[in-house]
Amino acid sequence: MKPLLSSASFGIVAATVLALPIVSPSDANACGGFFRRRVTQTIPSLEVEQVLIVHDPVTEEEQFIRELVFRDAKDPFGFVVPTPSQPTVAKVERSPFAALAQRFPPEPPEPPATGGPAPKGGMSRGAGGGAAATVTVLSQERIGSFTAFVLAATDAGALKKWLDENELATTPESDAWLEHYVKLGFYFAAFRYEATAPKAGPSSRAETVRLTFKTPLPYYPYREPKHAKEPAKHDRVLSVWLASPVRSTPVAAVEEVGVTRWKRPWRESNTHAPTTSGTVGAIVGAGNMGALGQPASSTGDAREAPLSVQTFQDQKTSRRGWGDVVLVPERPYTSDDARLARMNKLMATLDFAIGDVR
Amino acid sequence: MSRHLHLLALCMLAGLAACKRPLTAGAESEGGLHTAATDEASVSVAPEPAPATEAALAPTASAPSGPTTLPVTIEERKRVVAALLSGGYRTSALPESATDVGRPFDRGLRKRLTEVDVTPARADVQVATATPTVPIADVDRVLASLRARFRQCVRKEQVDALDAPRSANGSLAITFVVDEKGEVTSASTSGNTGVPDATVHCVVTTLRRAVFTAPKSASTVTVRLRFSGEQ
Repeated sequence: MKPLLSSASFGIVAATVLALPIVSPSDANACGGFFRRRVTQTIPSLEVEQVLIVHDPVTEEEQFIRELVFRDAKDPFGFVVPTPSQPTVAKVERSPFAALAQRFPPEPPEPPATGGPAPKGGMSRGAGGGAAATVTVLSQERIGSFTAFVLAATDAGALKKWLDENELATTPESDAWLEHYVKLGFYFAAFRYEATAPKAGPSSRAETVRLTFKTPLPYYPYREPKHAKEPAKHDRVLSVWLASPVRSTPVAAVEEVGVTRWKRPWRESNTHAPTTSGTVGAIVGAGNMGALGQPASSTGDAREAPLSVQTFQDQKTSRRGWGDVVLVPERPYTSDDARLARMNKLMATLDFAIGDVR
Repeated sequence: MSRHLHLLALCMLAGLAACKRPLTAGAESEGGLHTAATDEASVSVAPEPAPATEAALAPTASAPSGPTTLPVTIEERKRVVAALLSGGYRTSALPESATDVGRPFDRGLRKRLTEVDVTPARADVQVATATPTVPIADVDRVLASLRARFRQCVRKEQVDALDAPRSANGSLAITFVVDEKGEVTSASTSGNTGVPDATVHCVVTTLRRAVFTAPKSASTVTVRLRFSGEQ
């Protein structure tokens, strides 16, 4: 049986919280690239996505924690998450999002009453042949209901072949999406859902995974494959919590009518009072905080380091034309040459012309 | 920042696509920055939303003056993007696009989608047959009707009890007394195998608010609850 790979919020396969309604293949692809095994089967689509980004500007390490919610996942599917550096993947035993939503509500404040109208607004399974030469499986492990592969690829065609051979079927749209990241030298975390015994009737299930990778600024893989057909409009919501000592603004490049602009793709929901890494760690689990959750030394306690928690929401039903999101510091931040060099991949996500020539 | 890069930054804040080729910057007007490609007819960089992009540059760039030829190279583009990534621009002034065009922001959307879809699959409570010392006509029916609230207790614990065990799986026995009015006058638990304290407290509190058909005399009821759930 040929599985299907879906990509959820990140282009080809990317994912995050996924989800739900039964949709046609075109709808599903439009949701970001879920991959599935049989073209005729329904596959999960991305409807609800909750992400916690914990970023330490000193170690330049990001904890990218994402809850996947999917419904009717009776058949295998998968998704791919691109990262600017090699990630490690782990299952998060306890989802932090309910507690986060309670402590740091992601809903924006009520708009002021104006009386006017509302504003508008090498361990690879089945890998072989040519694929083995340019796709490296850096790790493979079972993460909850998923088998997670960390991949490095120097050739998009070889990566497509590897995904196909490993039951994560690609599409022409996802091929182009993959190629974009291969050119930029990104790594890939590919998740293949291993369906358990089918249950009667609709069911939903949530799992939370954590990707840890190096990046000088918080990064969110927002880009999705360009589909020939716009998807049907389903409600969709992305909630993002950013915990970092540095307050930031989400910025992405978006192509609109032949012109590319920088925009803020998410609405900042609230300005929460400054807190500490210890407080946030108590909510989300110190293990999910990276170095921010660890004592800095015998004389200092990094867990009490000042921390800002920002919350964002995105309710767009389509991300067509959007590139990835970089969370840019609100205040000038010193960048030496070495740091600038490390930001090369992020630069290419904010200026497609830079990416085109790499 | 030099005028050269300032203009380039303006160009990119307003419209990156028009910056792909060498540009000649003309006079800036209220409509935005006008540019001309060297190999094509004049191109007007889409100015919308000009106020936001102008404001975004305000903290670090001075107003440019006079026309300047902008040979746009990749290195220069990188310098502008690097300035953005280093906090050199007031990015909060960039236009926001968090909903589909023409669609207002829905403050209740997240809660509707997350709380409805996820909760039922993540917690369950099985209520065994109760054993009252004095018959109570509707004891099993009332206990069954409390299942949904017991499930909420599991979910509440997942939210509130941050240091509680990660698994919600376990069981316990509850012994409670129903008086002649059908009201619960006391309740205690025993045989707890892994149910977090916060959940136990919530379940007991819920049970103590229940009302049963009045028995002929005070009745002591024992029932076992089995919890299962994932977080």
